[in-house]
Amino acid sequence: MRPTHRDAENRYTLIREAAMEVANTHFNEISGLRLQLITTEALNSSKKWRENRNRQVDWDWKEGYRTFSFRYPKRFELAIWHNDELITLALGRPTFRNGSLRLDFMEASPEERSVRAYPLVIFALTMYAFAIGVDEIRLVQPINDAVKKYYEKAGLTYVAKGDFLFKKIFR
Amino acid sequence: MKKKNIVYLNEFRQKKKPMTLEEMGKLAAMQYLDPNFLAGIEEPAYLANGNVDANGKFIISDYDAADEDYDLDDINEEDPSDGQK
Repeated sequence: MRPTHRDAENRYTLIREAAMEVANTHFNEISGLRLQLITTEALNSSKKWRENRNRQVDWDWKEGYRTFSFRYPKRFELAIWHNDELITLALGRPTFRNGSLRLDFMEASPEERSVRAYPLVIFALTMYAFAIGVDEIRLVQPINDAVKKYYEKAGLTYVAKGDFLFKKIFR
Repeated sequence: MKKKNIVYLNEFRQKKKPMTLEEMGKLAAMQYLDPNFLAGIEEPAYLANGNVDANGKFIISDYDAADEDYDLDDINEEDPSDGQK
């Protein structure tokens, strides 16, 4: 790893941690919710998803995270826990002109959940977008039509040309 | 005649203190963590987004040049896949 790459990695890790810390102040212990950066524990926990029949992708998060995190030091990363259960993993990055923060990969646990994943992901994504000075969030390639429609109902606008949904964030 | 106190919008904006991360957190929490947000809209049983290949594996791509700028005309344009993903 080059020194400039390491420097960017360290700098943006501090920003990721700061955004996550502020986000977590909005949850109390009773809710059991925790937003975290992706850890080995989260990656190991995601292996359990691979056995689930409801799963519609075959993402190996351990390998995917390793590649993605090396390539994008400015990345957005998120692991959502509810009590001791991993409920979501997400990875994204700013676009090259820094106009948007893309959510490139997001997967909610295919197991039965009592917590909605989307509001928590969009909350964390908004916080990091604000922290790095980006005005728009973008959810890339919804996995199917039901997910696309859900995002639209939740207030995002679909752009067919790039197969993504976007929303401007307020400042 | 009483002189009107004119406030120029540009000056007003320049004087406005930038929002802090904590303030942004409060606003975002009000919007997204409100129990009424999405009330009545069911979350799909399986929720995911991202680029997958035919075998369902990750496709990590640097490509985003074309979607960097998009016209409002593109929005809600008919999806050529006709909803079949």
